[in-house]
Amino acid sequence: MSSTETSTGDTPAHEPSPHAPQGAGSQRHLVQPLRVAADGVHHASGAERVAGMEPPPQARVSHMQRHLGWMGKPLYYATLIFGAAMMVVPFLWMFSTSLKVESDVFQFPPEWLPDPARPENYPDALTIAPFARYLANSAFVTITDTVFSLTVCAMAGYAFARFHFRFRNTIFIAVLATMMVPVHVELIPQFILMRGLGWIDTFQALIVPSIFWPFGIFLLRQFFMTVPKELEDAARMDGAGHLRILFGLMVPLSLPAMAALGIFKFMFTWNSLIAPLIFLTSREKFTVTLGLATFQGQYETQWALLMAATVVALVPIITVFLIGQRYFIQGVALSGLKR
Amino acid sequence: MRYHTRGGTATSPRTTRPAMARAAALVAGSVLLLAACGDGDDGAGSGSDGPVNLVFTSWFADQELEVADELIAEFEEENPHITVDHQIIPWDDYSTTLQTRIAGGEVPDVMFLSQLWYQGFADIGAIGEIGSAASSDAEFDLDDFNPDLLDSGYYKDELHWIPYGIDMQVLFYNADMFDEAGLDYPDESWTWEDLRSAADELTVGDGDRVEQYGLIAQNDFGSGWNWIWQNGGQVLNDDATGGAMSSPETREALSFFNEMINEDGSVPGPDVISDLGYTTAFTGENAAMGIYGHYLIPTLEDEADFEWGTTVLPAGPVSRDSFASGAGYTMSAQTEHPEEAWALISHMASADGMSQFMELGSITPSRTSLYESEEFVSREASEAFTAQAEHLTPLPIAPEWNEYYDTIQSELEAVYRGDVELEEATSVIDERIGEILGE
Repeated sequence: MSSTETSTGDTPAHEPSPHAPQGAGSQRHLVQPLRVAADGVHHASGAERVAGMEPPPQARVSHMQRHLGWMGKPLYYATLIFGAAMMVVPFLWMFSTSLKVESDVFQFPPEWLPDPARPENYPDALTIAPFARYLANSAFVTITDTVFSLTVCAMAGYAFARFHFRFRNTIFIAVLATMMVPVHVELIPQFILMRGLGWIDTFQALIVPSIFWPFGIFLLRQFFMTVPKELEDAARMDGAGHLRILFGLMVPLSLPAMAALGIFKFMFTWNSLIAPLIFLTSREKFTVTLGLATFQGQYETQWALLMAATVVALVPIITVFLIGQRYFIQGVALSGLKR
Repeated sequence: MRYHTRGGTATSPRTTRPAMARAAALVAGSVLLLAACGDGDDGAGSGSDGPVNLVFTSWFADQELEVADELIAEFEEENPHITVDHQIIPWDDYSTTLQTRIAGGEVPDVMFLSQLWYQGFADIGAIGEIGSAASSDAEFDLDDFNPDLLDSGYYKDELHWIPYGIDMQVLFYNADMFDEAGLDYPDESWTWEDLRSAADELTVGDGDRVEQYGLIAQNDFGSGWNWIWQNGGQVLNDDATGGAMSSPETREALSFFNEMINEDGSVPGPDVISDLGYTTAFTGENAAMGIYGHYLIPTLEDEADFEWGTTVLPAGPVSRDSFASGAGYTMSAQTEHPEEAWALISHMASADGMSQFMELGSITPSRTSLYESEEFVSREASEAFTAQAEHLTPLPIAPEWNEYYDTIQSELEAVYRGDVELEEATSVIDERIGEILGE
């Protein structure tokens, strides 16, 4: 255990970017690129990876192109188009369904253009339940949770990256270890806790437990560790304290990571169903996901209305993603690659 | 469920649900024990007219929710010292959510529960008997309830569950398709053979591509199991200690259904049904007949641009029984206000309360006086349900329902897909049910 601890502190983890071709020459471990967090621990204990052996993503693309000759570009685009279609088609199908008459939803062969179109699905779906209320509730919970969570993650990440204190790495590993505990196991104890606090049927029952976010702490710690010490020393010379350094220097320098985390968190909280199900009991506090769940009846589901409501419920997520998109991609790609 | 392989190893995400439910139920049981030990003495105050707050959970939605809320408002007006907190939990997650809350120590005073689950809740001590309250309530009139369905409200010889409506199935038919084929509409004279030959004739399609199926029935406890009682078979043995799926009567019944799917091709297999949608297959005019419950009537009235009708299920060698199931009211075993909780159930399930739900048109009420009333039968399509209510077999329930139902489903699905022989599957099922119930 103790040897792992020391190496965690000293070695910045080097992740392959998600596009890294598996088994490229220099790669000695086969790792799952998206499991950033789990890898962090793994590499730390191994610490064998040599920095700078892997070419940056752009270099790899042109390398591939050179390899494939004139076929490279079309092939490259074909792959991208295929991937994009896989992502977009379900959305388009949902949108198309949201405009259909209920009896046409399962029509075979499937029709992409609803005929007849029924735009009234939208007002119907939004008035069948107090949907505006649900949206407002979700917005409140999600925004509060995201803001607090990012603040706490930044502070914890900074502490783990820069402070030296006893058992630092043990605590850090303990924080990471909590990610391995499945949500379902936590539910009942969490319910008992919230009940003890008298928080059943309150928004804080959704927000407070989710502010502590190990993945966020981990990602920001990795990012902060790559910020050159010299910058920090300069700030300290100018009389900045830790809070100043964190929020005036580290956070602005880590915008891509912050944006990526913000989007992740926004999506998680906006989409979460289990916690609202368990903790919210009065209808006027329902979130959008709970509201959507009530569309699925015991015998019948009004698919067209459900899809219309889902489209509306997705608008905030898509908006947030579009705004933060550029940072998001950078943030995911660079976390751990940067020196 | 769709991609279940034989043997059902825990690969599909669907299987996590029962597993989670099981875990929750276990914890719930132990927490309740603790609660029962500790809470003994704060139950004083009951019976007096001090303010009482009741928690009632249900999955009512839409119009049913409006009616339920109106009934509750009425109840609160009649009993000014009682307030009711009516909590909604969506249907899909109802049982697991409730189990988690119960495990966390929060037991609602009155719970709306399916016939399929209530024994599981009784088993962990969450709900208690209500038979004594029901029989001492002169106005309630327990004898008015459909006897077959009320029977399945008894757990360990005590009444725990008061049915809200009767879930049962009848035969729906597309009259236009019968006219086109020059066939007589189905009626109460029909037997299995009539059904099979008509379904065969009404199946239209060239080669592999079927445009119109003769009959929609699927692998579930409804249209997939009715055959069993109609042939005198059973799912569980008499004392519910093991399976009876490999008995000759049950095998013969399931094999009749399987032949319609895999030999005649007049009933679509599991994959086609999940593509078409079970109810939309009939409403979307992809099938000439279908086996459905009363809930389909309002949809057909609103949407169908074809002529349709209903009749009782065709008679098998032994009976023409449909399964009987439904949702119902149950009461917490720990409630501090049993009198008030019963009063609420009594109000909701009274003849008057139930008739307000009936007026919405989607349920068959569980009271004889209602489903035989002029008002119910005035709707032509509902008459078949009044007739079918004489021919019911309650579902074979036990606290372990979820577990053995999942087994039966996944094994039979492989049969209807044509992957496994019926004999083999039913033997495997009985073995598994024996393990589950023998534990």
